[in-house]
Amino acid sequence: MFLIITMILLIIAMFVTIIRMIIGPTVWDRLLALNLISAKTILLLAIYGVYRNNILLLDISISYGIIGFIGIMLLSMFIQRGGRLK
Amino acid sequence: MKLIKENYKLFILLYIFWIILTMNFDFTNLVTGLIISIITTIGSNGILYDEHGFKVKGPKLLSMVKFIPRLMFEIYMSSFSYIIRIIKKDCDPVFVDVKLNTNNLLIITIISNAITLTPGTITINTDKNKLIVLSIDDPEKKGKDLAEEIIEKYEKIFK
Amino acid sequence: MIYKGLLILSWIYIIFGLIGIFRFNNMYVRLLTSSKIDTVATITILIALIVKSGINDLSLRLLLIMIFIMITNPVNNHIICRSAYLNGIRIKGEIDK
Repeated sequence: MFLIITMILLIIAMFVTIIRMIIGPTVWDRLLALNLISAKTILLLAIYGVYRNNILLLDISISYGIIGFIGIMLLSMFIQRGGRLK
Repeated sequence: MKLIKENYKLFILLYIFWIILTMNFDFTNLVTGLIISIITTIGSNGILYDEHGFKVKGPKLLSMVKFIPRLMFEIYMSSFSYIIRIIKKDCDPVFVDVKLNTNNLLIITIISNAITLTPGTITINTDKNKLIVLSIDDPEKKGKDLAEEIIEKYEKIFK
Repeated sequence: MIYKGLLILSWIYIIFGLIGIFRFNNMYVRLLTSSKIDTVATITILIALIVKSGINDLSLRLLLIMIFIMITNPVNNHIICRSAYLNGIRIKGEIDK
């Protein structure tokens, strides 16, 4: 019961974070919102894996963490160089 | 075989990681993990290890064991004080220079990671052993006190 | 019983993190507030799940996720903040927005 309430709260929090991503005045606000959503995705998958008692969902959670880490790292390095690819 | 004998710590670490990730004690699984660990150890020669041993000198294991409960305690204490700050809406960020005493790169990395992990401070840039920390300004405390506080909290453990 | 209390604590952290995103009008303070509170909420929820599931292979995997998050999440925040700092945004100029 408590796990279900936590999952619903996390989904609501993700939708509220998307509003920040749309109205954010600077680029870094949008990156921050992406970081928050990626962390919450890991949590959501981990809680669902414990709720279903299924160990394979935790593996998917780890790989989502790696994808989010590499994505944010590449995007912010790209912005730091002023948008040039070189 | 000589490479394996030199890099046996990395090999043991990789094999433990394989067993934790798969959680399967069949014979074929164990043999596959053994072969892949040996290939990875030979291929990564020169990245972590050299002819003279480890490239970076790590801290002692006992100080890490002492460090983690201290870190959890600091995280929860400063998160409570941060919630009060959100309710009162008094945030005034400031840049602070922190100068550490050590020159060890791994210890500097661990300390700056711990500074970023506690609520209220973010490490922005490093230059040798000087860190630039983004923090919240207190009316009573000046920036100097915060630098001394960080050294007092974290660096003393690694002596 | 312990894990219910930890989950309730984590709800408080998540709600205050959401309030912190919309309450301040300075970019650096938003970076400080939301991401930090969110990291604490993540660690709290994972500890609660470890306490709930006891000692078996599930909790070992959860411990691995917790170590991974404790290493990579500060790096993300640090590199976002650093790219804002190196692009020349200072504190005083941002407050008016």
